[in-house]
Amino acid sequence: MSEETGSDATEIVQVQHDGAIAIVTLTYPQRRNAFSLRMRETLYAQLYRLMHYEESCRAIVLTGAGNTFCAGGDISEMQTRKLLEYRQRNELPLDIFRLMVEGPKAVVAAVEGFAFGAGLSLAAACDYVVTSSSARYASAFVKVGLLPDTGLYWSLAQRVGGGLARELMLAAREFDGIEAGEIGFANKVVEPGEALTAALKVAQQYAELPSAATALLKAALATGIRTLDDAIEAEVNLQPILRRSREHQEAVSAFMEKRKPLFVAD
Amino acid sequence: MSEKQTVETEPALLIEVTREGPVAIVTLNNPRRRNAMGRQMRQLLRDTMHRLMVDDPQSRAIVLTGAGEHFCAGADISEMTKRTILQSREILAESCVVVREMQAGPKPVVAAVEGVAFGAGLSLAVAADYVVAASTARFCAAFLRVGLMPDTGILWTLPKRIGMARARAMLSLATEIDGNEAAAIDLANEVVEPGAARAKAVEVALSLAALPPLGVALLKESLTNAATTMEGALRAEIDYQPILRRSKDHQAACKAFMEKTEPVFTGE
Amino acid sequence: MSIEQTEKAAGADEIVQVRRVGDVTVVTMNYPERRNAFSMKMRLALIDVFQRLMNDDPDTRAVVLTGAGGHFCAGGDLSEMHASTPPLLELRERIAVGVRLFKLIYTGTKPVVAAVEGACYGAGLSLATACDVVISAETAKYSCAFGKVGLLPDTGILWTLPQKVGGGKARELMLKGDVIDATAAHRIGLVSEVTSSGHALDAAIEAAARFASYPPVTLALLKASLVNAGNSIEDACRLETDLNPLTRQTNDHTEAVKAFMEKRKPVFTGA
Repeated sequence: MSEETGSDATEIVQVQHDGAIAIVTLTYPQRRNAFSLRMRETLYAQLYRLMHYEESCRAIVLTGAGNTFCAGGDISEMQTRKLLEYRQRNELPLDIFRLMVEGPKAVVAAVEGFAFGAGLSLAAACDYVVTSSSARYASAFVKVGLLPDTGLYWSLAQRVGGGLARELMLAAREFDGIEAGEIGFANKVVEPGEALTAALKVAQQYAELPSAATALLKAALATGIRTLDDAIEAEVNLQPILRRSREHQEAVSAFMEKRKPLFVAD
Repeated sequence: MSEKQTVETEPALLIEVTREGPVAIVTLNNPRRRNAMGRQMRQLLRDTMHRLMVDDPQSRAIVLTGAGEHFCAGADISEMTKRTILQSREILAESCVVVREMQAGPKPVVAAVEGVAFGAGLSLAVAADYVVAASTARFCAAFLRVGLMPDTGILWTLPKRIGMARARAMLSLATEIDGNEAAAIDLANEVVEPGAARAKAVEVALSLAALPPLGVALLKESLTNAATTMEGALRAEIDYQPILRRSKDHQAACKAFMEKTEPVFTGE
Repeated sequence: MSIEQTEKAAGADEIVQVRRVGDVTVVTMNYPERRNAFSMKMRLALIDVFQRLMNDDPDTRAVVLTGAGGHFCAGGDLSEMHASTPPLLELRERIAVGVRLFKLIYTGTKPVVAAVEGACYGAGLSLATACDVVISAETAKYSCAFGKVGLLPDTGILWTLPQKVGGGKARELMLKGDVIDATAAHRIGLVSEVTSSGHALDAAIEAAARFASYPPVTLALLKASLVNAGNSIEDACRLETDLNPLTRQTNDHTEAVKAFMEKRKPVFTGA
């Protein structure tokens, strides 16, 4: 099934390719894939490459090694620093968050085990979340005197609504995979151990859809669509580009000729 | 039962309007094409909805439905010829006007969905204030399948109903769901037996038509335009509530409450 | 709490009663003969109380809001509205009073948990929805029927109800004004927890007490950021970049890290 393309077994973020799908695995199992500085740097570099340079990659799956997703920030790295240094260190997590949300390719999370703190933020930044029923989620930040980061303010409210996001962030309340499905955080709930398999199926669906439309839809949703005017502005600006795309014209021809479309990007 | 009054004089009545008391029923009428909408039909719908909203004292609520077995299969693909960027922009902006009317206009809109609500058909359905779906109705944001992004306001209206996580999946994967699933995720407010959507929608519309009209109008305007931020929502209540407190209908409601009678609302 | 405040808290004839349970202050709307109707007197008393709790009471770490006599609050006082219709400018002032109360609860420095038994109608629903967490008895009932009496839903609910239950569901509840039960309220996200009848207050105090175990400065900053943080990616990123470093500099954060490494419970001082 999988083909290891130049992935180093000691890499803290491993990338494997499965056809048009790239599987990105957070690999720091001895610390439950804690979101250390090295993890952040490597994840950013890999995601940037996959999003912007790897043409053969049409969709991304994000998961964690050792049957857990990511247990949050690396507390052992949390030493006292100067204010400006904190501000600067916060840029990388935000860059990762923006890359996932604004990038042109869909990202599917496959969550087993823990998704705490920044782990929750990473899952929330994905387009589609597949969760094991026994996975455990929490916005644990406030318990260690921190505010939610890595874009969680935006991404959690987007997924479960502002009211529930507020409650989950204030109370640092834990919820499992089943509840994640009920509250709309997770799109699909599967048996423990099945998340990756299910996520690959979803990623394959994304990979087979027109790439330009996928990219522009993501771009539109990233603007936030807070008002009806936002929605109208996004479609008036972006749809005309798609109307003139090769993929769309192929789809129209296929429809008129009553056959399956064959999508080739511009 | 219902009086059929045709409002236009053209022979091909792509949009029909009939009435039941204070409810105006707008029917998308192109059943041979599952009510797929070309530009002419969209323009007619826009004009009809606008007129009903602002220039039709007879109606206090609107039902939107489709002729035949389906609601609306979406935009007419045979009309998707090559156009310039500017032409496309104009056409898109035009189609969105009806969504603004439905969401922010003064009268409540109830959608009655049988059969398919695909693409722009789905967009229209979820632009209503209240959606009645037959259990066998089929909802699908089919746009991506033809290399387009979801349009006709659906980027705002669908997440409002089902949340952004579910909306994102439905929009980006063009997955199809039926009426039962639609009700389970609150895409539809209510699910009914096949064939019963129109009657139920009219029933809901009649009850909404009995509400004080000014309050309904200001509520819809607030929820769509003002209350998109906390400060906007608070400003809306400070600006609008005093007007409503001083309205005849509010005072009639208070009087009726104290005297335990039924109020009659005039819209003042 | 000062002596006069303690005495006030003990008074059974106060329209708003206040009592402390550990780190939690319980605020009880006390107008049971009118199911705690949201009269002007009630609004002003609540503003007084919340102003003090949020800004001038370091011993209160979280607040519970509830109603006396088996009901939360059945809404605005229609007889008061029928009796007089003030001029437009005065009405604006009166609405602004409700807005002031809403802001104290929603944007204040401490978490607020609603404990709902019985009727939660109209402005009562607005109050509950403004709270960070709503705990409901299984027999409680909810409705947003402002429209039936020709009014706009107020006291912040145009913002908070869509935030809790989504725009589509909020629109339905506000237009139709139907009464829904606790199970339905839970399903749509209005209510976080359903308890057996008579036990909402105990569960709410328990939930509120949990907040007391978190650093107070962090909670205050979090509530402040949440007002606008979800508006856009720009807003979220800017708030994160500006505020997170502040929390990293607090003694409480340093203590939390230390406690984690030493595998013990942290002791927070609010610094």
